[in-house]
Amino acid sequence: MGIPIPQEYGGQGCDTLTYVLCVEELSKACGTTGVIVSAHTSLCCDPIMKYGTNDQKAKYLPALAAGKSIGAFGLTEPGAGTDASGQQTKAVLAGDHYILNGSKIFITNAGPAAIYVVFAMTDKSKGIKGISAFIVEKGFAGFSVGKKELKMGIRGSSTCELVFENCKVPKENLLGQEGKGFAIAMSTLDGGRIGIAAQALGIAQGALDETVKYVKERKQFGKSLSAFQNTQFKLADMKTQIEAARLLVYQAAKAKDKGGRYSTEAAMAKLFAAETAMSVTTQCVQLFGGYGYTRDYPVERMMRDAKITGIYEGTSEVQRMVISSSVLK
Amino acid sequence: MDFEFNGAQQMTRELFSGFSEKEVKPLAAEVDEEERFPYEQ
Repeated sequence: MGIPIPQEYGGQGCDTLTYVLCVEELSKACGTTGVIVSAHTSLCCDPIMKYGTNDQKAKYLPALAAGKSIGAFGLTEPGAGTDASGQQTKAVLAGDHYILNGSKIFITNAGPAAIYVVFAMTDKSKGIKGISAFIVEKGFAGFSVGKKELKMGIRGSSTCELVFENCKVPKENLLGQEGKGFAIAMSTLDGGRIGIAAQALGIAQGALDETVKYVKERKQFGKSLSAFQNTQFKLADMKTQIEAARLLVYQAAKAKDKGGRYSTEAAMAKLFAAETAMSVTTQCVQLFGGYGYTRDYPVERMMRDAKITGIYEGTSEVQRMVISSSVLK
Repeated sequence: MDFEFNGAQQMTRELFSGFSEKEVKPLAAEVDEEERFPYEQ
């Protein structure tokens, strides 16, 4: 759980490519486990590593690295998805504490998570420059986890509402400076998108692996499915798509480690890997025929898990907005 | 672009792959079916 966290805080101190390989390998078997690690690492550990004070890092990173605490990230609200400027959650400084009021939705890892990086308006008049980031512990007074969503896929991951009712957050839990929350959120999501791209890549590869096994075993019209040219061509197309996605995902990981901005690389990786995951899993279900539609085989679950990769941490349409803005600049 | 893994990356990849195959894969279907968070066993 602490792959990129420096060793001095109990992590492995590995690079982003190694982290991507972890999420990819986990997601081959289980998209749920992939997203739990991705949200924990990219969306909670990463911003604390990058923007946290030495005290914050020493306080929170060791438990996160050991997996004793699971991390989450609270940005989305009912009226503010990608358009984070519509934040309604407020934070008001009162003495030694900020008082948070409002709610968040669709928060991955909410419930099991002990540590939450949460965004709130400290100065509404400044718009996105009035957003600040906070580290909120599960046990803080006035903080509770609300309704749990019932989902199509990644069903083992917990997705819930967060509720803040006069929640007292110590002043020293402000992450970064006041007003820097939007910049922190956007830069964190760039990293998160690489994690989700790796999840999508893993799901696609996992589905292809299962399908290769199946088409060799299953016989129709006196020969195995793998002897039909339709099967062979489909496998060829899927393998090619997956390799292309893999190159984009690894390229984005390398770009992150190089430093500087990598928003476009992350957006291209997520867009392409998510669309690959959906296309590959759909074709895999088709190759399995009736069995592919049942829960006797894992491709049905993989197809359901794949869908979310084109939605969360910025839909595929949002990735296109990010990419085209760099093309047109 | 060169994506050849260095020794450490190759080693950790094999580690993740083995863990995923042995520990994660057997639980994937029931974690989905039961909507159960896969806490470490």
